[in-house]
Amino acid sequence: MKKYLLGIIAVIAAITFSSFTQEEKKPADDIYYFYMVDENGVIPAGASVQFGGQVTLSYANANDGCTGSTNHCLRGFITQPSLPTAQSGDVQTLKN
Amino acid sequence: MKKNSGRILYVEFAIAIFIFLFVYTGINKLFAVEEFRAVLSKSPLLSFAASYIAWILPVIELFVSLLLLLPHTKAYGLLLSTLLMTFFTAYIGYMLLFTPKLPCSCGGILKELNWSQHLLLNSALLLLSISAWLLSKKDKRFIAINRNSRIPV
Repeated sequence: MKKYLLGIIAVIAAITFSSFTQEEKKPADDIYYFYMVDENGVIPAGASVQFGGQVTLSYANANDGCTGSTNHCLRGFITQPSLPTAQSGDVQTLKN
Repeated sequence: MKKNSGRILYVEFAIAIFIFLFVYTGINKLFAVEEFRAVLSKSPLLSFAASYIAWILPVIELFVSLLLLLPHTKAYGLLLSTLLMTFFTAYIGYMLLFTPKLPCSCGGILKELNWSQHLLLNSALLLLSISAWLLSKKDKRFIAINRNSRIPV
């Protein structure tokens, strides 16, 4: 039994930690296409996808480059919208 | 004698760490298997088999934990841990170089690490698994010699 002791402690610890780190269910797809919004709250026709492709909301928030600038920023979409659009998208980066 | 017990302790400690790591990440991946599959499907390397890998990988992790837990299969467990850590580290290296904007498809709180931190952690774990595996082979020799010396008088 003694030779199993450390291993069993590790298994119990892992299960305990797992039960404490279960997050609330998020949507399966947590990566978005982000677009810059203009002054009128519209994503204009021909606007390019920011960051070169799909990224997470936290990545977009950290890299949106909106600090101290305007009241408009990025909107994220799970699937690419047809542009122009005034839709608010699935997520938005924080306004700074 | 003291040196050998230190070696055994190091191997046992490494085994406990890998059991913890694989059970923890395996359970977390299984609990969030859909999210895990969605992230894998964005990976340029693994998207072709995302649905299969999302299930197989956590099962392999739990299987390796079982091998590490049983005394007779510890050496195989350490070898498979080393192979898994090599694969994970190589994958992280690739992601860091080519697609750093994608999130990590790791289990539990490891998801909160960025790619560079993850590469560092994985490199350390890879070194730990290699050293533990090599030392466990030496332990086997030590135990065999010891057993031979225990002849009833």
